[in-house]
Amino acid sequence: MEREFNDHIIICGLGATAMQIIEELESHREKSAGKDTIIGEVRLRDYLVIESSREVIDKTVAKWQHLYYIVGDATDDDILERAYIKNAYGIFPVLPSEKDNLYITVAARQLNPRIRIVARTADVVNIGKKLFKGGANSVISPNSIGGLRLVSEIARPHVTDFLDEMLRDKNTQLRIAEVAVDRDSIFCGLSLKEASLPEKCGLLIIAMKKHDDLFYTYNPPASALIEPSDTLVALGYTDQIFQLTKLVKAQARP
Amino acid sequence: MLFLILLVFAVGTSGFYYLLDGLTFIDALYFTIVTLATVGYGDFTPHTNMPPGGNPYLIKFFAIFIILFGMSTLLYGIGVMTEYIVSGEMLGERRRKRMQKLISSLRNHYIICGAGETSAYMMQELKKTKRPFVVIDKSEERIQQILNQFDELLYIQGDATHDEILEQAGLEHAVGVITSLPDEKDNLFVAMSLSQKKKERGFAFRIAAKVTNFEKMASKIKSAGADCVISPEYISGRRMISEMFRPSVTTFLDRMLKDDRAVMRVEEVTVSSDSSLVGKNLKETRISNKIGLLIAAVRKGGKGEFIHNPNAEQVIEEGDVLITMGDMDKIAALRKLAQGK
Repeated sequence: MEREFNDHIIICGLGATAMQIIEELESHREKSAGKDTIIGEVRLRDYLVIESSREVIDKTVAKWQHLYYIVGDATDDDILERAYIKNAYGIFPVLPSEKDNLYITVAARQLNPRIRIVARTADVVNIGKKLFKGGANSVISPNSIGGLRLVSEIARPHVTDFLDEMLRDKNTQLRIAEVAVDRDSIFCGLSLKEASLPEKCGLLIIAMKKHDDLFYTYNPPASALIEPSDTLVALGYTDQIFQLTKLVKAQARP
Repeated sequence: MLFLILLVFAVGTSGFYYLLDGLTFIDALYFTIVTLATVGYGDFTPHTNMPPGGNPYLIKFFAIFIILFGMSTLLYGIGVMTEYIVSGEMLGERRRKRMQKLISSLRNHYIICGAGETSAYMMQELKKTKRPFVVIDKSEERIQQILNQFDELLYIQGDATHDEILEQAGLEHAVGVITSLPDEKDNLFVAMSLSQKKKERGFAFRIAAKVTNFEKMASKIKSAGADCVISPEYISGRRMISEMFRPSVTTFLDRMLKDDRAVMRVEEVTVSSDSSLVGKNLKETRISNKIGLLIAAVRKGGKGEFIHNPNAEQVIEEGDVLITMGDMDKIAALRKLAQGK
């Protein structure tokens, strides 16, 4: 490859997960129809794959002709450098070997402290911990999320519909949002009952987190006190959440 | 076998009883056993108790017969018994029978075909959310591995593509079957035989299947009768993109699932006709005050649109599905109320 890359994505290993990643990236690109592709709040630049088998590369290129690729071993630091890892936005270590993914994670973090690393593992408990320690931002296990999803589909089909609607459906504006309470918010010192946020905005306060707590309190009681730096978690439509944010941010008069 | 051994004792006892003098029935049995056990205390001998005018040769020949025939029978019997115990057949058989009894007492349970890596995560989730399940796998080795992870595991060692194995898992009382076998064709086959049984015998369970090659297999398994088809690779690919570009989207729910103080879940509860909730509005049900759960949505009759954040006046009717989130113990309490038990 004679060109340079910036803010790009690197995919290590062209297995089944990588194919789905490419599929997803391409579908985002297709939807944006020639304009900039924005996923979340990030503009998608180029992506390139590193794969050691020429045969696999050829097969993939037959499907996506414009694919950028490097034939080589992603656990070789020179290859990572050639993929411009120092300028990259993110990297997906999705090789079949756990050790390879761990190695790439550590190497990528060393070569580029700002890079986002989303790694794959079969074993969330043991290998997952190591990947996080090695510098991964997120760890995904197909077995784990596949298993959970299968149980959800079979045991709570309505919940799956509900969450799908909330997380994916563009027509339903239902969201879960976290709202931080400022120090000078008018709600500081009030109980949830006194603040009566559900009545004012029509949404549900499903959880609350005290500023020094690690965990949420779910379904907080009406007597729970709102204090500065607490976080409220609300379930509601986007306009209700907007209203809540406005209310909570409102400052008490000095 | 047992019969032969008893016969030896019977012949021996009655023989000595008739041939020897002054022996009670108990003495004769005792003499037979002492002889066969090669103990020979000497308190009774064919000599000392020979009746006057008796034929000493007859008695000796009878003794030889009993010793040779009796000992070989006895030794053979002991051998068979030992093998039975040592090979664990007795234990295995008993365990299988006990397991089968437990499985057939299950109600509203889940069946998992295949005990691979993905299945292990399914079993964990089912266990955490207090849903009973049976797992079927043909490999004894794999079952042993799973047994180390789960105590009180209900399992069937056998091939899920065989109808009688599926039947053993209690299909008529199951609410869901997940087929997650390593071979895609096997999953297709299992989905097909399950949906056939549903149709023929009016079973109500849902069928889910794991696929690896989503493009090729998903539509086929669906047309075979699976209610849903999931490819772990497909959803993890999407999920990884999400984690890469919008890390904050799923965090709250994710953190809720990972909360290790209690098992927190988003769950659904269907209101049955026997439930005391029927006809009340949400405020009157006191679900919020008494159980401490919020109702995030109601789906009337379990169909169609959700009513999000239902207000206090929302009336609950039979067949409604309530979506709630929180502690599994509280959800279990709500479920009990909704089932009317």
